[in-house]
Amino acid sequence: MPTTSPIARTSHLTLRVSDLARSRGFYEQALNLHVVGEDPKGRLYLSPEPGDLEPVLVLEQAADAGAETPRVEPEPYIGMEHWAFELDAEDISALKAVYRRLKEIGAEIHHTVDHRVTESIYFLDPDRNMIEIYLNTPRERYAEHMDHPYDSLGDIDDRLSDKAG
Amino acid sequence: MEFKVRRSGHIVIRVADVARSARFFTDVLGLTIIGNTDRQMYFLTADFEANHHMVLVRPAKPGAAQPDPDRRIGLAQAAFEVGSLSDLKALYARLRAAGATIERSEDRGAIKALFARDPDGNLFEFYCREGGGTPKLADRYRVRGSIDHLLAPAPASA
Repeated sequence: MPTTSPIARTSHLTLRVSDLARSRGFYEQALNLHVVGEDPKGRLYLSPEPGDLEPVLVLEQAADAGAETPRVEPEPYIGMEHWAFELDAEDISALKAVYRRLKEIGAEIHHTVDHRVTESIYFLDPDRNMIEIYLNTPRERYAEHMDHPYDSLGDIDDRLSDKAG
Repeated sequence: MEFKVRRSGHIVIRVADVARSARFFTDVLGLTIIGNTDRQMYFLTADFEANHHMVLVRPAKPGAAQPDPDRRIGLAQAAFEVGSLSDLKALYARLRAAGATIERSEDRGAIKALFARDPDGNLFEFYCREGGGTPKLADRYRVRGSIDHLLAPAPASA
C-alpha cells in the first residue's frame, strides 16, 4: 500500500490516573509491564521488558483526583476512549495466559471477541478505562477482511478458558 | 505460558464530527482509511502491513459530554514516531496549513518532538529520533529547549 504519511509507528500512550500506585500495580500485574523509569514530575514509564527504554505506557498522577473519569458504554464521552495493546505472540496460548492472569487478579473482563483481524479481550483498569489486549490473527485471514476489519464473530470465552481443549 | 506486550497497537477516539476528524487524520496526518463500517467507524493506518490500524475514529452520541482532555482521568496523550526530522517538518507544515492547534515543540536531545491537537482538542505527540538507536530514558522527558527554529526557519533578514 502506498503511503504518504510521515507517521512511522505508534509509540506510547500517556494515561492520567486517579491513584498512581494503584494503576502501576495493576499494569505490572495485568500486562507484565515493568517500570523502567520515573521522571522529575513523578511520571512512570512502563515497558514490556525491564531495561527496555521504549515505553508503551506512561502513567501520570492526576492533579485533580476528582476530575471526570472514563465511562464505558453506553454513553462514553467525546475524546480518546480506549486503546489496545498488541501481544508479542503468534498463537492463542499467550492470550489464554492473559485471560487467566486477569481472572487471578480480579480484573473486570468486559467482553472477549473474535474480530477477524484480531482475537481480543476487553477489560477495565482501576479507573474504569476500557483496555483491549489482542492477538493478531494470521495475515491471510485478515487480508480477506480488511474492508470490515472489526466485524464481530462472537465471543471467545470458551476458547480462552481452561475448559476448552 | 508467559506473555509479553509487543506495542501499543491502536487508539479509539470518540469524536464530535466524524467527517471532520476523518479529514484531519487523512489530509493532515496522512493516514489511509483502510475500512469503514456502516456505523461510521473509520479505521486508519500509515502502513497496513505493519499495523492493520493505528487509529479508529467513531462518532460520539449526540450530546455526549466533553470533559477537558487536559484534566480528566483517562487517556491524556498518544505519541507517534515519525521517520525523520524532515518528516516532522513536513507534518508541522501540514498542521499549520490546516489551522490545527500546535502546542509546542521540544528538543530533548536524541528526540525532537512536536505537540498538536486534533479537532476535538485531544493531544498528540509526534517525534523523531536523531541518529537512530534507542534514546536514553532522559531523552523521553528532559527538555533542552524548543525546535521551533528547525520547524519553521525564520526568513533571512534583508
